[in-house]
Amino acid sequence: MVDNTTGDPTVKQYRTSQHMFLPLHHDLTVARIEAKIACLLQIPFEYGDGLQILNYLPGQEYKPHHDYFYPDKPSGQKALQISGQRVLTMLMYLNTVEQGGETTFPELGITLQPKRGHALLFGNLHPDGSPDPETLHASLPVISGEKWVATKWIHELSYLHSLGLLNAE
Amino acid sequence: MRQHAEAFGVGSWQEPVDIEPIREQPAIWWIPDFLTDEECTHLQTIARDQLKTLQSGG
Repeated sequence: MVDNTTGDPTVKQYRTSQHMFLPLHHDLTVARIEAKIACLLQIPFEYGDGLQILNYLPGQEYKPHHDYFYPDKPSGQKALQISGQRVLTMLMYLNTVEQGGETTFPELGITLQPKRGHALLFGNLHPDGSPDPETLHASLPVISGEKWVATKWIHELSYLHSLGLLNAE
Repeated sequence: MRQHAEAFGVGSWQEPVDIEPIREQPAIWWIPDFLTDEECTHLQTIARDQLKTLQSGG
């Protein structure tokens, strides 16, 4: 199934989880997590999106995909103008999945088991800033139990840039 | 950033975080015990009633 407007595969075809977004600094605990991430990466918090929290039930998955924006697609071009490319992805596992739900990088032969409190961090770009297709990754179907994960994307540009509060970097 | 961290009580901001490199390019790291049990539970709790099926990419 393909979106008639963009030519992209429709979301429901390859992603079956549920999600929600938290605004930055939603509460004290969320702000503390954002500060921990900023300290770890040495990147100010305003370069990151609010946390996205995903829940996968048995059978649900996210098929192989890239996190970077596609510069050759209208939706990607629009996103790039707002916040620049997604440089880093951080997945924080909120529970240990009973069975299934692994994060896998099929091009690299790497598969990781979600464990409560642990995090996976990866870059999405080549050193020259171009998208790296080898960052293709997926969430394998949950077999039993459920999967909770929080995602943080770090961008090239601060959201203050999109608000017109900073000059282009 | 340091002030921001201190303001939100990140007591371990200056302690080294255990980061395990998995691969150099594309760079992939594994970070054990990054979130506390309290933080994991909190995020699930506040998200549970607001979940919705994705309608757009991301």
